Amino acid sequence: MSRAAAETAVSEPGSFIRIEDIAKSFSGVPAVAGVSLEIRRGELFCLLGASGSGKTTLLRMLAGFERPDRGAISIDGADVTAMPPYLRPVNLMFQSYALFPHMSVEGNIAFGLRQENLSRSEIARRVDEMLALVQMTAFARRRPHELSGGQRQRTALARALAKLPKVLLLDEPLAALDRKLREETRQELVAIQARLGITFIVVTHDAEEAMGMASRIAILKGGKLAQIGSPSALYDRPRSRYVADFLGPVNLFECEILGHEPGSVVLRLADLDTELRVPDELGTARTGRAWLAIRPERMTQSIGVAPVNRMRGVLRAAVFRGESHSCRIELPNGKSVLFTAPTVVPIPRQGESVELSWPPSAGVVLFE
Amino acid sequence: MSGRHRTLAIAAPFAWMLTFFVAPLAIVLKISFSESTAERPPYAPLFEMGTDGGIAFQPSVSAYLLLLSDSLYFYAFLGSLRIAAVSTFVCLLIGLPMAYAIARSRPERRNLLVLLVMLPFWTSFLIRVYAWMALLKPTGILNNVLISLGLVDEPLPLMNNDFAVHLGIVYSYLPFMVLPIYAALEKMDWTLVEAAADLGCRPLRTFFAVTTPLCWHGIAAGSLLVFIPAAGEFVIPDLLGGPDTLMVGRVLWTEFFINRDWPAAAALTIAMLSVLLLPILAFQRMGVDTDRP
Repeated sequence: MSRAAAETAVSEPGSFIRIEDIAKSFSGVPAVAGVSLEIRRGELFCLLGASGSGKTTLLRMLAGFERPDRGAISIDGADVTAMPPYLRPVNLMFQSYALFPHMSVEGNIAFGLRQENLSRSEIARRVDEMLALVQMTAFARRRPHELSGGQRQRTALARALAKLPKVLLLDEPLAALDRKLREETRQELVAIQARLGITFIVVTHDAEEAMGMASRIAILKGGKLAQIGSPSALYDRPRSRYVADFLGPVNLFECEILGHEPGSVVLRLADLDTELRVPDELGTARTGRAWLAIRPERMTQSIGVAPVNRMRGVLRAAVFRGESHSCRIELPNGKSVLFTAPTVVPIPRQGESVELSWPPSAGVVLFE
Repeated sequence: MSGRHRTLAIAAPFAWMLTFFVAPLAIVLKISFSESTAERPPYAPLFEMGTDGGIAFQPSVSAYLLLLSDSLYFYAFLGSLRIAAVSTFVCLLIGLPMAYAIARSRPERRNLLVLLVMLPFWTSFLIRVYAWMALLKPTGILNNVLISLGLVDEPLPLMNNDFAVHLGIVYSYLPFMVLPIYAALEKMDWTLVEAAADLGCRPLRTFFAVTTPLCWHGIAAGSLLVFIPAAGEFVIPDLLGGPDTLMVGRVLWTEFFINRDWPAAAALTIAMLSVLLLPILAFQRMGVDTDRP
């Protein structure tokens, strides 16, 4: 802990881990096809993507299990591209946990420390520290098969943290846990990361999980970087339909850009004779075909005064979700719009007409 | 499976073992406690009708006393155990890397490699040992090649010595070492090896700290499968061994067929069996420990 914290003070932010145009193919099929990334020291960084997006391959290259076909990886200024896994200042928490079945919890945690020239008492001290950190002290002498899923997960975390790596890689750390435990563990991970100050790189396919823990997220698609940014930036300002859709439910309207006014874009939805205005963030004078993305929860039922951005439809279905209703509104052209209404607001009956509106800032124009 | 079917399924192999293993062994045990005679069969009956009409039980331990009195038997035992132990160790040295290489090869290639390991079984064991004689004898292929290459001036003594016996046993029993270890390694979770590397463990150390303990039961099974038949081996020392190659199998054969001392041969068998039972029992005890999920 002290080692990582001390180094934080001296290094400049911005480029603790530098991944430069890295690529890897397996028997001719590209898994990672040119990814460049910079990860800051002390970040909790998420690599998010569907299966086959290349996120696991990228992680395995960071751990040293795969050698990239081209490109370079450096950690804390040192090029590690060709460095074998056992020399890297990186530890990985495996998705399957990969605990040694013939060793106790203690033995598993001590394994990495035993590879260094540490005294017996120093190893014992560090193991105790780790056991306390993950609240496994009472189970120190158990074998992995005698543990619950959550306890195994915590043992794997302690084992990977025991050497105080410069970077901790976590491969789907919550995937094997049940729903309730997952939320608890997610918070624990964030707390431990904040406490130790170690750079975490988490691989996950779960957007909600990534947004709930990461300081920044890189979304991968087909072995390439789709977008990188903070969770809120990615959620509110996606740059492609793929990213918008991956992070949560979104309404995508095909539209045509009619023109630009100072500070905003004027567009018309296809099949729907309504003019809409959204803030012109792209600053480009692009015109033509595009998509308008609006999150269901950013829409509201408009009452009385008609704002600029609105559309009318008929409520077709409403699903109660506790804090909200998920509603499907059918537009006159037959297309559907998703709309999330807070439970405190009464919703119309099915078949009744609804007018939806949204603040201009809720809309994002996408070209991809 | 219903209870009756299960009983039947267990009873069938049990009956087989009883008929072809336990019964002959009982006969051997009986003969070992008989007195050697020059009659036919060459041993005195264990139970004899007395003159008074009763049945007399006349056990004799003279065969066992003979084993203790002549140091030849002791050295035969020692020779057998030594040759078996060395051969087992050499088999392990060759078999473990072989099994590891097969287990780590591409899945579509693995079956072919396993088939190649088993391929020698398709030829008679005896023929393969004779083939070694053709290779090793002073005018054999190996010596001819060495001489024609000018590497040696006169034939190397490759045959009729302990070296040839070791070679023959290692060659013959290597598959019995490779296959159980391969079976254990094939089920191995290789992410554990990656985990060890990730934690800073170098490959060779990982092999001994992670891989070996996790396929330990395969190594133990393979070692037993080589050690036990090797210790009782007769054909290989007889064909490849020299006059001074002292092994129990040979002594047994001599007692039985040359000296016609059946009780001594039987006692030797029982003694050998008792000695070999020890590692089997040790393995079973160990199995209780390692077979946990």
